[in-house]
Amino acid sequence: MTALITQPPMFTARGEDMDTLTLVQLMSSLSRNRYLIRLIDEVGSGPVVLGAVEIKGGMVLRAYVDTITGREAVYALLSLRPTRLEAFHLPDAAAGEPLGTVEALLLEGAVVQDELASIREAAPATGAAAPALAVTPDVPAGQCPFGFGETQMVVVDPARQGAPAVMAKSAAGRAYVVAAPEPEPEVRSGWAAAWQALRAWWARVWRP
Amino acid sequence: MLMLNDVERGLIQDNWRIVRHAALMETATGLFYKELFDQHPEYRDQFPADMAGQIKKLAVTLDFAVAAMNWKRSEWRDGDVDLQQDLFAVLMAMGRRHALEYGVQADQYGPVGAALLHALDLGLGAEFTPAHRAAWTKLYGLIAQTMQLGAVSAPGTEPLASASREEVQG
Ligand code: HEM
Repeated sequence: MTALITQPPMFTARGEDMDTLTLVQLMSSLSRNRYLIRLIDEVGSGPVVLGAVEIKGGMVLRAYVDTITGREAVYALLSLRPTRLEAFHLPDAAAGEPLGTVEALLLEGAVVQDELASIREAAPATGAAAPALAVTPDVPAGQCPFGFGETQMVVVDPARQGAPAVMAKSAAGRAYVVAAPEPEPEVRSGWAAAWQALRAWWARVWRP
Repeated sequence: MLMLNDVERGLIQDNWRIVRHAALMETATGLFYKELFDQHPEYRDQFPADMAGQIKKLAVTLDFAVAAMNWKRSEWRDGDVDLQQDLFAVLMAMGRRHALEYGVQADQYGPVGAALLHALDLGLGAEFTPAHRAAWTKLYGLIAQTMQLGAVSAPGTEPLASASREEVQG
């Protein structure tokens, strides 16, 4: 069964007051009700839904970022810095198999975030001494920062044998995603998949 | 991780069972307010002159919170309740009242948490081990953060127009 959300949110919170990671944990700790959290970015042309996560009783039931779903969407959601969160209390329904426990998915997501952050930190330091572009948070308008064409925002990371690192910025002007090098065989599959998911998502939602 | 695991929930339940059986609930909350006003006399004027009702209300709230959290992760499919009985929703509303009606500031949550731990320590003695303290500290953190979220968040309005593309598998 598929249902459209027609009810008003239970509440909305500004991104500066609450982040997705914390809200998921608060709700999952204190409630066994079914909640949907939606991540909104207020860009020039109006609010955009970045993605959503549905939880119940400490389990993640579903998540999506654009058309990307599943565990990778959970990791990707943690990279996003929405300007607003909307929370909906949903009527309970016979839940299918969950994606996993909130704890497990958040811990995996944290590993992904750590790896991305270490790349971000390593890049400027190594960039100076290496034949690499400097990492800059500025993405020229109209360019997909996950692209590898002429408009790319790619830096070479010699610490990782020249694998590319990519930095992105939201259309609202805030840097919110630092993407990773091309997946290497030893890299965890979830981590690589999250990056691919973000890249695919960006390509879809980017409106020059 | 902010979340309590099943072991930590169990530790809180153990302590609270003792508090309930020994009819210590109001004694503990009385100790709590004594400690709070000893440490922060400037908070006293925010509260009513007669604290008896207040002590009872806090005890009832803590009792409700501990009971609402008494479930194991494996029982996640059950336990759906309406929002008046949902601890998360109740705390959001309570946080909003605290900010708007009682003038409570975010920086007052720290001293209140410290006074609560102190009262549990005095009331429970040896039963309040470092592991129990850690679990209660986490629980208080969850409660305080949810109340503070209630204070700053806006009640729901109409959903975004773009919500029409939102689909929920039920
Ligand atoms: C975990 C945190 C807290 C809990 C569970 C809690 C619980 C309660 C409850 C159950 C009430 C009764 C009225 C109502 O439900 O709105 C109340 C009232 C009140 N609380 Fe709290 N509270 C907490 C934190 C604080 C903090 C940090 C302060 C600041 C000093 C505070 C100050 C007050 C005041 C001034 C009242 C109103 C008393 C009156 O005029 O009747 N509370 N609290």
